[in-house]
Amino acid sequence: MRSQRTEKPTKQSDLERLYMPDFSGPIQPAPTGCRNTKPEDVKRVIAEILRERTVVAQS
Amino acid sequence: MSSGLSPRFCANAPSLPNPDQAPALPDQTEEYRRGIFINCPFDDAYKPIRDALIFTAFACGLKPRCALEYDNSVQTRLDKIVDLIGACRWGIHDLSRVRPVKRADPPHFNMPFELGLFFGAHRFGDEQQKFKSCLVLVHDTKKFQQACSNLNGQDPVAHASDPKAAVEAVRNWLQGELRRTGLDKTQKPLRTGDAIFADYRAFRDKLPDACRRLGGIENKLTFVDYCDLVSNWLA
Repeated sequence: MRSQRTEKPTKQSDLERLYMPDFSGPIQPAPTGCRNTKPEDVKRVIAEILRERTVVAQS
Repeated sequence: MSSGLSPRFCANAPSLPNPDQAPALPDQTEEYRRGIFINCPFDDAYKPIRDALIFTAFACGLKPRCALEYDNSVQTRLDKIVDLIGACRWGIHDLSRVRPVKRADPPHFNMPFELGLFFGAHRFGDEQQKFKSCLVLVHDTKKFQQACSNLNGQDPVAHASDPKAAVEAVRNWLQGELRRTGLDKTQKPLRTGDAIFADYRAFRDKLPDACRRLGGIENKLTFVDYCDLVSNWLA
């Protein structure tokens, strides 16, 4: 009886860990839906700004 | 793979004591594990907090979902919200502005209602829904406890309309979830609240420039546009 009491929470916590995401994984894409921009334009513009920022920081 | 888990996730997952005796895993997609339902006001005055919450969710590896992300006139608004709640393991519920916008108006009850739906999914939902976790944000914890005593014991966090406090609240909640499940020992730690907020400020400084380069869309920026800008900034 005692072992059953301790076994259940262990399984629960193991299962809960399976339901957790890898927080340190890659950044998620934006959801799809209403937008006024094209994804490729956003990617290009942010890449340009980050590149310019790096250049300014280095100079 | 019968469980529907991605190979990457399985590689990082702890092994169960005995897979044959473990409860059957429901159809758990990475989309659900990373989904975070943002339940907050949509008015312009609240925007600094909402934008900070979305940025922090992405910075912590999650994917914000919100009723603003799509329109479908075939679907009722409530159905859309129920679908989104069902699709997200996580939730941020900001009840800081459950008050009339004008003195004569009734208070807005959408946010507490959606929090109730989230609790209901957690309490009465299937196996997948039982692992939900949420953060309740308020303006002032003492006043909130007087207004909604049913939530006493849920430890809402006050941000006092300060975006930095909101960032720290979300980051600390997620770090606490990592610690609670023991994954803080195996996963890379989340960046500090200060570091995320500094990055958010840098992003905000460049946002007008980004909008200008995208054709002057600052006033037409949708939820999805904003999410796309944030995710590309952080990638």
